[in-house]
Amino acid sequence: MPERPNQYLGEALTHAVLQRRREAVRTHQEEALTEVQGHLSTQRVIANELDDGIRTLSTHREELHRLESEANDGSLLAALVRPFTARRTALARSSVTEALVVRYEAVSVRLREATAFSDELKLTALELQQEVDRLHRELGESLHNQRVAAQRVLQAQEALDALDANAELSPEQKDRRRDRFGFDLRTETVALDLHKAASEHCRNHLPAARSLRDTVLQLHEEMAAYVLGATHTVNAAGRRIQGLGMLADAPTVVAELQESLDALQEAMEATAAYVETSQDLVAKVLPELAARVAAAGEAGAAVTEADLRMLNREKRRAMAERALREAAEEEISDLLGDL
Amino acid sequence: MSLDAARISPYVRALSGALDALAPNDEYVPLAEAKDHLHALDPAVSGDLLAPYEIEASTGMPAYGWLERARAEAVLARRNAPEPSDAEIERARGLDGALGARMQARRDLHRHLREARLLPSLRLHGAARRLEPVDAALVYDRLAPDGRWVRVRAELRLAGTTDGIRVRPQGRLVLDPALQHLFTRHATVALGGLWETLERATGGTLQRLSRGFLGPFWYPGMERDPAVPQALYSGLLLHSSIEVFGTDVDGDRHLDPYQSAGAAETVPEGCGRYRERRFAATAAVEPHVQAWSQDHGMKCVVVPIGRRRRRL
Repeated sequence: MPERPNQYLGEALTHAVLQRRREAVRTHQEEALTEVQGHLSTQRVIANELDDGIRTLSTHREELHRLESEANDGSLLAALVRPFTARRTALARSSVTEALVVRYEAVSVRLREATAFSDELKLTALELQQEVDRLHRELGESLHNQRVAAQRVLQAQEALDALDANAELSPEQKDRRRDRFGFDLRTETVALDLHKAASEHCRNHLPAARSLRDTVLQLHEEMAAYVLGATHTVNAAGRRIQGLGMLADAPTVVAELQESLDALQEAMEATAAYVETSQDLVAKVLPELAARVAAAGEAGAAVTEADLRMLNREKRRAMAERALREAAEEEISDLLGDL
Repeated sequence: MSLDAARISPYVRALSGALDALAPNDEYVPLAEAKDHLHALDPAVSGDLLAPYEIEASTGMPAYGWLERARAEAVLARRNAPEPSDAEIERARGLDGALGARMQARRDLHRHLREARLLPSLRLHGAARRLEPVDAALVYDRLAPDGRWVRVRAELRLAGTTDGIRVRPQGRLVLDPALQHLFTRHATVALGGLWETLERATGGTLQRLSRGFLGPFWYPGMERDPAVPQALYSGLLLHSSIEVFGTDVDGDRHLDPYQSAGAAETVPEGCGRYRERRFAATAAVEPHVQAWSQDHGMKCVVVPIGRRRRRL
């Protein structure tokens, strides 16, 4: 809570400052939206590439199965033919280990890419949370300042009202004070309205800022969980692919490699689900986000000085009282954690 | 198996120092690639980006998965994406310390990897040494399944272009990818068998065939091979081993206390065979290695780790 309850907090607010804040938030949110669009697009690309990589890696399962059948073929004909076919196919036969290692390395690169991207998402989410925090802080300051301005308007109004009934003052003294109080009244009324506009500005932009943050958080959570699971599975497969390559495609190798590829099947299913989620995010979340940011930018047009000049004393009093009431309601909501 | 994070930097630096001490020649994988790769694994460069820090339990060498993560990062590093500035990293660190540390580690690692050459998981290349007749050298490098680093080097005489090898007029060799598959399938079979397979597949005549391993790397506390004295694990001990069949090798020399001479393997006619194991050892383990070698009736080369090498 502010240490000086009757003093304004933060920078002095003018129309120019308020306009600058509006522009800054609007620009920032548009940039953030572009960044989120980029993240969504990158996520989709990475997810698709991983899906392709893991799918291709797992297709070697069939080749392994064929090798296992050949190696286990104990028929007389197979035994007689094997030396000749082996010689003929010395160069023609490809190494399953070689093919698996190449594919595994391609998937490994994609996983590293996804890991780095997960960090980028986290950074963006943290920056967007910082923006939400800043809007909350500015809202708190604006509400406080609104209350201070409202109290000052009422004080100036009361002083003006009391002036006419004061018989002790000379007409010149009354004129001088009336000018002073009148000036204070108009100045504080403008301040009240500016702080009110500042509060509105923060309130309008908070939902869009929250949505942006939540979208990126969701992307990060999904990507981090996916990367963790996929890395574990792919690494386990990699250990077997490399570790068993020593035996050069022998049948005992094949059976264990098949187990690894079964594990890859699970990773592939998880990837497919992840790709679907990311496509859903692009299709549904992005248009909603764009609409929210646009709506926040359009809301809360600046109060013009012409509007302020139209305000008569009664309206000013009513406005100040309303501002105090709203500030009190805000405090209660704040205490209840409902802001 | 995994090592504690605190032991990783000392581990990779010790292995790198041991490689320096061994000074492997071109019958082993390139020293620069091995050291660049180890530097990338060092948490002082890559933080925890390449975790988990997996070690092959039986050989004490970095596991394939750990090495592969560095290779995958190298692919990303060479894309030359804009790197974060100091200010951006500081800003991220202010928001989340661990995230800022990872961004810093990724930037440092990528800077290293853009300049580095890493050990390949599988690689075959060849060069002509003479054109008439064609003498060619094929070099196959691999991260072996047990974690050791292996190079197979074949020198062969060709009657011209064959199924697997085309000889360009200026002497450049174009290798059929199938030849690399052949090496991958047969790289670890008995050397005599590999000799026969290569001659059959390429139609050439082998002059010399060698297979050199770097590793295992033994250190206190690791899984011990019960066939060797406990004392060999009392310090750091890196092995390099080589087996050579060649027309330029006389007789059959066996200087490897860790491998038995074995039954008489068929040596191609006109060839000799040579097998040797060398060691890089810290002071605590050096006398034990010497004693163990002498017990096997041989004197092995043991170079000290971390001290000035004696001239051998």
